[in-house]
Amino acid sequence: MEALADLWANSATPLAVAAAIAMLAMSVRTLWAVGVPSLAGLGCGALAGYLAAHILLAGYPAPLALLAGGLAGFWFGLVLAMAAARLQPAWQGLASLGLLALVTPLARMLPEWTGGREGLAFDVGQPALWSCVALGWALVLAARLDGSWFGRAAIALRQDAAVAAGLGIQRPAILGLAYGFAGLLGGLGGVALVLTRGAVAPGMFSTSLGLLAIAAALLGGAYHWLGPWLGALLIGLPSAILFDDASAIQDLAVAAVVVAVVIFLPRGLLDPRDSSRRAARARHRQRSVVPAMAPVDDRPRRRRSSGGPQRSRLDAAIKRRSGGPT
Amino acid sequence: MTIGLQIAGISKAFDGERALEEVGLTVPVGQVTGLMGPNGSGKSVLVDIISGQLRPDRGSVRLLAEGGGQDISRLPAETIAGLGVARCWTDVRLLGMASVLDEVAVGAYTLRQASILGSMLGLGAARRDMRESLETCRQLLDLVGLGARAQSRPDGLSRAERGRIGIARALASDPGLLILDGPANGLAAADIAVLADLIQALKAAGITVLLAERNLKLIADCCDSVVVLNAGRQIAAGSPADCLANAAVQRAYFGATAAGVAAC
Repeated sequence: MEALADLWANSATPLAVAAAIAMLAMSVRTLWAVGVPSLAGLGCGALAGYLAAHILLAGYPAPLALLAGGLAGFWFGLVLAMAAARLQPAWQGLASLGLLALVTPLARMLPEWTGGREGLAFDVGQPALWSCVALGWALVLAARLDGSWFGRAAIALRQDAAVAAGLGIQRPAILGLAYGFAGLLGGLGGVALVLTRGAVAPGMFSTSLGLLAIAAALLGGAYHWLGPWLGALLIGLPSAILFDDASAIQDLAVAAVVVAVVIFLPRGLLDPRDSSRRAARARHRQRSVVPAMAPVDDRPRRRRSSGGPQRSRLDAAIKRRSGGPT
Repeated sequence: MTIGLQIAGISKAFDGERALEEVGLTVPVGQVTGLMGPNGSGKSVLVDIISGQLRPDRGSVRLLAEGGGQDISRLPAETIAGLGVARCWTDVRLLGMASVLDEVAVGAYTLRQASILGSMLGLGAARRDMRESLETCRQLLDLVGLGARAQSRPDGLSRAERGRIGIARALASDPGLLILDGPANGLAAADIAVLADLIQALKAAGITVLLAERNLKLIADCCDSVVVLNAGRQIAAGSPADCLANAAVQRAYFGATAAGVAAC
């Protein structure tokens, strides 16, 4: 038990940093899911980070700071969506780089609110625990959203906006949802980072952090909800152990990972298509091993009587085709 | 609700180049109407205008339904889809989903009952909505003969199978009017026969179909009435047999002689 406590004490901070990077990478991935290569979630993270610092300095607990940061990130994300909705995806990405570049000078220009160059420092107990709890919730929400109507609509929008419109998918609504959710995840990630460091300072939400989040999302797999988490574990954890803070060597290592992944593993380690590919291979093996098996029954099944009047007529047509009673 | 379509005086030009000139046609409720013409005649432009992907320079597009009609010529594509108009694309344009079933399920987006919050919180109603919709999509895949491929990757299928996925995806929205744009493009004769069978089944189900196609056999086999375009103008309208016998149509398709039809 004591050994376990020692292990947790030694690894808690790197784990918490990795959890924060995972949530920031998830925010990047959320906007990629709708075809927008944007770092807007990190801007939301900066806002949430400073808000959380004030909440903690006022003596409120870390969970409240996480909640407030997440909500602030969500609302800021919606505001950004309204501003960016008319732009093409590539321009939204460029605008988000501008937003991230604004964070450091703005933080220095508003010392009453941000603490200026020195930033704001505070003391908080168990930051790693709360960061990991927040990551757990973020993963659950991301998985549910991915498997929902809105996750499918996001893929459709990313792949072909004209076809998506023809299917009744409203771009502003899905874009707003993506920005809001990216803001929520970015807000949680920003607060988790601030909790881990015990301070917030102007240089924390820089392009280096953006690069780290991009690398984590790319390596883990930007097409799978679990990808950013895996990427953060593989990049964020070693990065947190090897480097105390953003450094030139860290940037170099992360940039090398980004280039290598883009060239050799563009869909990342986790690819949702792999599961269907494996299933297809398994079916193929099954057919070749057992050539005499009965042919696949491709006849229409009986439909339930749900749906509108057209559905009922379609039901009747299906039954006629299958030779059943109408 | 099954719906029809009335198009009047549609004109469209691109950079001064005329694509459609005063085109009009009626798609009666519950019937299969053919829109035929050789390559470049303006069929796909007209389909784009009907489905809201393009706006006409002049003219109107009205949906005909019990209890009145509605002008949709200035509405965006997503609103028109919500009114019960679904379309399939000439080049299918699948969306890169992980499985055939997912590809079809996205077509049911307009029928969803689940809210964003319900989906994120994993509420029972949201899960039930998705489950029922996937079951309907499986049945639609059965209808188009792809029931056994529900879990396959769409990009591994043939052109004919991908086309049928497109039809199932359009049917998933429970449309009142289905627009098929060039569904026979690149298909072998056997696949076109399957397609004709499917269109007849849709008609039997009471779905209004607008079939924009240049394959004469498919038009002749499936359509109740036909409108023929050439170089953006309407050159004939009537029954398939009348249109195929029309001298202007034969000139548009085969040159100046009717012998080309016999050779075909």
